[in-house]
Amino acid sequence: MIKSTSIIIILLVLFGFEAHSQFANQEEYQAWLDSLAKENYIANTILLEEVNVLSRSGKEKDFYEYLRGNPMNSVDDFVHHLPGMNMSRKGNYASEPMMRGMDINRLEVNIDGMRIKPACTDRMDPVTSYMEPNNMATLELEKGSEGFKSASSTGHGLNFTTKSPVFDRSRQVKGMVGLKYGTVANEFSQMGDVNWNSKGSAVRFNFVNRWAGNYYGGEKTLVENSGFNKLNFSLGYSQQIGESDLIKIHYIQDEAWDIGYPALPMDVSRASAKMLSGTYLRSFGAEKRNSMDVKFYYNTIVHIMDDSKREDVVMHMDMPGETQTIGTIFSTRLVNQKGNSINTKVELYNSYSFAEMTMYPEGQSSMYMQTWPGIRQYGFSVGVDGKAALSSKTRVSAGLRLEVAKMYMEEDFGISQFDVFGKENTEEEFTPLPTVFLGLDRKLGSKSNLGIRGSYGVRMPNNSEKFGFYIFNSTDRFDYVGDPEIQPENSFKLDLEYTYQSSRFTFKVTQFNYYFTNYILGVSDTILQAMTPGAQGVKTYSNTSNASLNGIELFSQFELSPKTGLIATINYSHGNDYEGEPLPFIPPFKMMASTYSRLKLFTIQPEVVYAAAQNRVSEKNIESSTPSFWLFNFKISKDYQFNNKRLRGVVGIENIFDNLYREHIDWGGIPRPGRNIFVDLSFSF
Amino acid sequence: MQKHISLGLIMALTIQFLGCTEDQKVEPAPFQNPNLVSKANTTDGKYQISILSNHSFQLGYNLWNMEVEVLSSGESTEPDEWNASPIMEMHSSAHGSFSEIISTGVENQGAAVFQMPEGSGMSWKIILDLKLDGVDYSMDMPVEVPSSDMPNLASFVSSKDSQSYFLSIANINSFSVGSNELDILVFKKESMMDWPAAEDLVVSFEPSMPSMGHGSPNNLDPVHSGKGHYLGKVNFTMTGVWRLDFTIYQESKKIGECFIDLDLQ
Ligand SMILES: [Cu+2]
Repeated sequence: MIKSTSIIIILLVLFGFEAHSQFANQEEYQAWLDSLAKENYIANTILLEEVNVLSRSGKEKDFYEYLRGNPMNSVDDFVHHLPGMNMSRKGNYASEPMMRGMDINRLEVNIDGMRIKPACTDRMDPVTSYMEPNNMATLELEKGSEGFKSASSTGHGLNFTTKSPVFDRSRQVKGMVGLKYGTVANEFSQMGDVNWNSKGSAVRFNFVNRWAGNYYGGEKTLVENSGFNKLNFSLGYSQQIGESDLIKIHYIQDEAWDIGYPALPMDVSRASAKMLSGTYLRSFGAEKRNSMDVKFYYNTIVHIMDDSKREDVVMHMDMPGETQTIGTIFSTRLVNQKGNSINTKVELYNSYSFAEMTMYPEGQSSMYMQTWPGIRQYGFSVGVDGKAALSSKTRVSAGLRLEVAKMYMEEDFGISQFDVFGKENTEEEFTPLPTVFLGLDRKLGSKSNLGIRGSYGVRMPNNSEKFGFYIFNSTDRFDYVGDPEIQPENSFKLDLEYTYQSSRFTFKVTQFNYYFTNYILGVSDTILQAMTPGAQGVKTYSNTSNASLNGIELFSQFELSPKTGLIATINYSHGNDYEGEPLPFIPPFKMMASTYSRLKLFTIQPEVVYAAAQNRVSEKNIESSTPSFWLFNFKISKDYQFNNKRLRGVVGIENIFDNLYREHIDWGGIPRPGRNIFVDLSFSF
Repeated sequence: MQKHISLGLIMALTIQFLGCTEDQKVEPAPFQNPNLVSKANTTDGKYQISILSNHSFQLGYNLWNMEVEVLSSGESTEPDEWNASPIMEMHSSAHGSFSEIISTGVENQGAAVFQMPEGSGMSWKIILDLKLDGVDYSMDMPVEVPSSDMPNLASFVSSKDSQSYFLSIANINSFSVGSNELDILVFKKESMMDWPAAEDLVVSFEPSMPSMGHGSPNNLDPVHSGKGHYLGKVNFTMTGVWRLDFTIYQESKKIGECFIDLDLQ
């Protein structure tokens, strides 16, 4: 695998030197393809597409550059830089995005609007683990039921848009290659992408290959079983038809193997995702501002957990899981001259999730059960949202979405399993999942803006919450059992937002409030006996009466000089469960400040991170408190531009003082990486 | 227009996608795959008597069917009346075991409990006493009962009167993962030839997986329903080796305990 990808790199380099000439404005077509909420970028739309970044003003460019960091980074590396976002770790791979203290159960992650079901019962494979930044054009964060693009959720949505092949008459071939090495895990990455276009056809190929050994936490603490191997590649093809029509076909495959999860009792021998989509787009109306598209997609994930590389396991077990999703999306976007817009989206999807567990006691026949007993879910949704200016000072945005979905077990074996609880399976009825949001923005003077946004959302219980069967959770050491009769969860959200923006200073503060009813939580069930050896009990997913989550998010950017800037973020969340006790996995007060200075020879980026101790812990989840920590990082980079090519070198050091620390949201109390020195070289042509 | 066609197409696809997953649950019919356990002709050469079972005989409770064939015509016939008694012949002695008749008529079904395996010089037979067309026959039907490392049989000596009790699961072959009826049979030894059903007991039980140490929820203790059969509910959460631990009470005093292991497939 490694050999063949090295050959690809060499080929790309050879190709690169044939490339030529200037940038063209043709890319605006591309920008339209990825037509997403591009306004309000600080409010969580990060544009990763280089083209878009370069076409923006200097100040915005710095910001994007800053957040984008480097395409050699992993998804984890940059997602945690977003306001409100945290990454929860189970090792050195596939961190789980968390938003304002809400975990993956309240976060719908989509890729190009496609639904994807993770295939791991132990939450080892959030959808983000199947993505790579060099695939991604934009990342949209929808905070709190806003935005109709994602699925019904009570928390938020995260939608990645992938890069499409670019039409550029002036440059038939362009691309980039890169290499990165980091010391803390002996991690190598190599990546490349190439875009070719001619006469209305365009093709883009990219790949990333990463491999790492065990990493060291601070103070030279070896974290065993933490290595991984990954190869991600994608192939896109776009064909223009006439002036205003386009067909796109996109295939992404992500293969990872021998991945260690030190926070869990099991590792993963293979995780594989394949995603295929076909899209037909048409633009119409004055200046082709309006658009519509139809997309068909299919994706499948295979996730194979095993513990054959672990010593001292009581009993070996295999836990494979797989999912398949098929769907179609039809959406339109209408924009008038004033910039008022209205979007509609109709969606149909159908998914299947299956996971099983086989245990091998010594000298006895194996034991078998289905942890996700063949779960079918399908649904249909219609959504409308829009934005309009009511006056020169007031803007309104509103959306309405209705999804109906059905979820049931298909495997007779699994249905029988649930008989032991005396629960009837599978009332095959459609559940309505409405989502509404309304936002008002009012200008206060020329530089400040006050926003108020409210929403109501409903989400379907997930696979484990409804039909999970004795799924061990290593964070609280309980076995979790789903409830086929569980009800959807509801949330009400209110965000208050104040923004001040001058030419050199941006300041934005958001105060957020969520109130959940029917909040789904594992509740200790003293009647049931734990199944997993070493588990201390069983929790059944239940609708608890309520939960609340409040907090504050602060973002500021200072431009001290045209070449020096400072970015600072502060996040704080406070969550209570139905008994007024702390919710588990709530990140503590956290602050990050980073400066960038373009000096004569280099650009330098020192960064400091501080997290307070978290002493509000969930006793129900057997959480322990987490001490505070400081973290210092430093990065230095240098670009060489020539003939419209760019060579960039980055050298950096993370966790300079090699602090031994962990974040409260991490699993299993494992330390985060210690001092890491990395070198990163990339060449764009 | 295009969009309507596309949506219709995907809907059709989706429906097909769903359609192929429908599965019917098939209840195994009794004696679907009869397995010949023993066969003998009457001495007058008129009839052939067969004992059939879904499974080969094992230690513990076994259900069987009897069939009578008229040799001259090849057609099957029904006995006017019949009775069965299992006998183990040992070197110089013999003993019986528990036996019951479940149905007579078109379907002739019986059950026997074998409480020890055959061995050198020790073998089991079922003595069938039949009346066919007014004539009495007595047939020795030899049967094989191999030893087993997981016998469907348990025994204990009552702490009350020192009598030996035996316990076997009558429906062990129907067990699967999920919720199951539990039908256990309890009988005792009065003498070498007298093994009557024990009908005055209270039985409680607990299933568990010895290799993992866990049990299962929502089981129901079996309650006497007649002729030594006690009916309850047993739940299994996964395949593998399960142990059923029984505690037996008589007149609200604990008189003994025992267990049966089974390998659930
Ligand atoms: Cu897994």
